[in-house]
Amino acid sequence: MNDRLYAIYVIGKRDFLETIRSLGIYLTMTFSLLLAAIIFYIFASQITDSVLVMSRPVDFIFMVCVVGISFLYLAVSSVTSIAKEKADKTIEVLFYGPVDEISFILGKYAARIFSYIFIAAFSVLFIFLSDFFVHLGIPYSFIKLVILSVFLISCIIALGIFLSTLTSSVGGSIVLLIGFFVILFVIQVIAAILSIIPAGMDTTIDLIRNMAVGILNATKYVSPLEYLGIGWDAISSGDFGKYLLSILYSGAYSLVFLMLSIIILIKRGAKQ
Amino acid sequence: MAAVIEAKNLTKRYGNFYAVKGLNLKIGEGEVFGFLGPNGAGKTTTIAMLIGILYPTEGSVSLFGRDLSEDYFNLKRRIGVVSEQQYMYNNMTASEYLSFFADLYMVKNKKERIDELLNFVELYEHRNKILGKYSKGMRQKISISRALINDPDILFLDEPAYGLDPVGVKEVRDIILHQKDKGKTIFVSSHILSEIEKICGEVGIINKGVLVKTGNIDRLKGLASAGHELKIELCQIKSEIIESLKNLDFIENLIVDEKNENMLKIKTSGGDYRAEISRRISENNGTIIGMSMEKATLEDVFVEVTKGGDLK
Repeated sequence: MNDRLYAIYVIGKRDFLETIRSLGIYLTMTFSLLLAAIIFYIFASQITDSVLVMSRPVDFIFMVCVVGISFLYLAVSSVTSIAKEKADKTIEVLFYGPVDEISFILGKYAARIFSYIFIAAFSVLFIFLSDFFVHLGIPYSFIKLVILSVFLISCIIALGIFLSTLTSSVGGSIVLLIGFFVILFVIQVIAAILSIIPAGMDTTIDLIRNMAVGILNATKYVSPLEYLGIGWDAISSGDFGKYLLSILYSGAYSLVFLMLSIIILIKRGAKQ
Repeated sequence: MAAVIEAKNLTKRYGNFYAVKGLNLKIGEGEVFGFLGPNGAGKTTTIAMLIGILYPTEGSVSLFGRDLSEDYFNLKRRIGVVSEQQYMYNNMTASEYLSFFADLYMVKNKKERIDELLNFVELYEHRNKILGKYSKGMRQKISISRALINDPDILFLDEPAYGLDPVGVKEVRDIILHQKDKGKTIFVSSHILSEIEKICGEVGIINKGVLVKTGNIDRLKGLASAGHELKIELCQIKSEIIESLKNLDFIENLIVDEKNENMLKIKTSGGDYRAEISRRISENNGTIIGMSMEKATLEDVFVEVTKGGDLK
């Protein structure tokens, strides 16, 4: 095996094993499956009451309960991953050995992708078992959604790792993550408020609105939530072209942030 | 002897501050090299650049004759590093920790190697204990075991005995000497000069980022001023004896001891001049009761060099 691939495998394996030995992943899965069970129960009741159930309910359950909650869990797990190694200075000891910046970042990334696959595998099993009793019907699109979800989750993992390279404290990394989403939210709120005001009333307001819309459009490229939306849209519409495009966008987003993480780590060095 | 560690014009600059400046170094195979310097002199920065965890601003490092970037993974698998502080995954047991690094270094017969090292550092009984619960001395032994897991050809040790009690210091020294006996190349930095004297053949002294002196310990000690001070006790000191001795070319300084009026303290310019001085005293009817030559220690060399002095 290639030396770098081997280093990615060893680092990834260690982090993955640490994750599945920790409480966090099981709390996430418990909460996720509990929520899924409640929604299953609500949909099953609607069928019994002959009320129209939304189209593709299983897809909805998976997207909200599994992808949504894993998104939050893996956001925190990724953003603390490198910051903790830097805070404890264990990153330095890793770099004494046959580990370079690329293998370190990709090892961290691989561990979290496999953690998600672990969560998703259990969740799929749970959904299949539940459907055996409830008979909501599992559409073909469900398998497509499960595959796409790996790419969507990859976005938040890559972003989390990138933010993690910017700081050397676990607390600081979480603040950075929250700050990132707060800024995105504030920009959206400002753009929404400005859009209420009719155009042509005041040139200054028009200018500010145009600027806010421009910033909002730009943030769409950096917000992983946007890619979740694109993915869900592709699944709901059943458009295979959109589906492939969603995979492509998510893949490109992950690649960009992983490359940025590697560059920052090279610039800053393993020795803090 | 081929150099296994070579640094050429190694420089690390932060803004206008030079942490290390133009350091040139060659260390041969099987050599045990002591790297000395006051706090903040640039020892750790130098080691960080030699092992490739800090990129130099200028200059280059080669290990086994190759630049680290040429064959990064293979060269890294041939070195072991022990740092001043023991940074480790505190939620792992000693066995798990060593197993992880054994995997990283592609160690064959992993279990046997881990057991061998844990027995060697006398921590086998504690192998399933969480590292977070280890004492400082135990953690340092685990750090050393981690550094030895791949049976490295070069061992870099940065203050390996830092913060250890005398027993711990001796245990670390024994481990290093064992590696020395195996013919490994060892690069060790330490504040404990007596330890360096016991372990190393060659030393380098760095001060304010500049490597000011390198060489064989005995040779450096021979050049130190402290090594050229003679104390001679006479029955009675006569003025003609003092005048006669002062005329000798190699006498740099001569004083009568304040506490003992029959004791002469003589500083020479280098070499052993005891016979010539004795003869001159006898010629002037002096009687020598005792004579001693002060031996320089590594500490004398260190102090003299780091205070800006230039050894003879």
